[in-house]
Amino acid sequence: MALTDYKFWFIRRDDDGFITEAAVRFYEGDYDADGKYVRSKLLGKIDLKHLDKKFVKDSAGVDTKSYTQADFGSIKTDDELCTFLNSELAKDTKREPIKEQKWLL
Amino acid sequence: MATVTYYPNPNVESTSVDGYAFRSYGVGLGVAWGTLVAADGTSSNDNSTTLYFFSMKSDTTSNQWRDMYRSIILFDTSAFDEADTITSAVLSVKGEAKADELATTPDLNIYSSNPASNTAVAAGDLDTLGSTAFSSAIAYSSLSTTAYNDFTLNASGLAAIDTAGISKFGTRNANRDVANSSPTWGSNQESYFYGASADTASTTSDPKLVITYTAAGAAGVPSSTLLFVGT
Repeated sequence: MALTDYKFWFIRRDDDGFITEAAVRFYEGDYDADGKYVRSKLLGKIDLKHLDKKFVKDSAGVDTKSYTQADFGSIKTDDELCTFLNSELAKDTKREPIKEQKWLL
Repeated sequence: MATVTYYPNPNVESTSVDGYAFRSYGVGLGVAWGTLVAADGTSSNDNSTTLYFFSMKSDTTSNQWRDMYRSIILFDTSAFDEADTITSAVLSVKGEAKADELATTPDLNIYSSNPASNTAVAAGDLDTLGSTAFSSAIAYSSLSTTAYNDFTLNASGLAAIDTAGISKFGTRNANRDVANSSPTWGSNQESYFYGASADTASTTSDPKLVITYTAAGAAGVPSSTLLFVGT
């Protein structure tokens, strides 16, 4: 089974430090012979049908998954956001999250 | 104040790469310091988990030099609302290792970059980095190899933030590379500082640009719009 992970494009916070929006890219990849995780594909809308359909376009016009407080609630820390996103990764039945993104708080 | 934090793309890039370019001469084929500083690159890397923020290496021949490394870090800041007002910004890079065999106490600062592509770093991008400091340099003794190194951008750095597109930055050693001031030569010695790129497996060590801003219309409510109710 292919592996998957995510990386941030941006994280927006309000005046009180609460995260209000996060734009996230999901990838497919695998570990190389040296044990380094190597991404081979940026996953697009068609690959992310198991997630809801809220996307924003980056400056290249590529759809990037968007999340707001309606998705992750009232949180402030990156760790809390990662916990939520790790649960999003786990929804992918075709790919397995990399070990660095399997943890949940 | 509200903030928005941007990160470069890992490989496979969509909009904004991070990586490094370098010039390397063979052993015994080194050049004078000024020639090395002005030289075109010979190689690059944009999919390693490592970013060489700077590296410089001497040749085995007296007063000749072999290697010069600089990094290029781009952010897709197009999602920033151009109606908002930027009040400050901090560019941070996480260090992993450093050495100063040349005993030249190399510092680090942020500069402009202008790679040929926004999604790849090529050897020829080495000499596209600028020489106008975008922050206060961090001294060698203060460069952290376990945590983020934070550069608060000055007016020139803030002006480099492109709220409609890609903000292009890079790292250079300030006191020797940018100053074009040769270190004291010693045979086959290297001074370097490197750290994490966006190609790492986690999300906790990527380069990042934190922009603090005032949202449009958030500065206060004009008194003419206040509504008084009751007596």
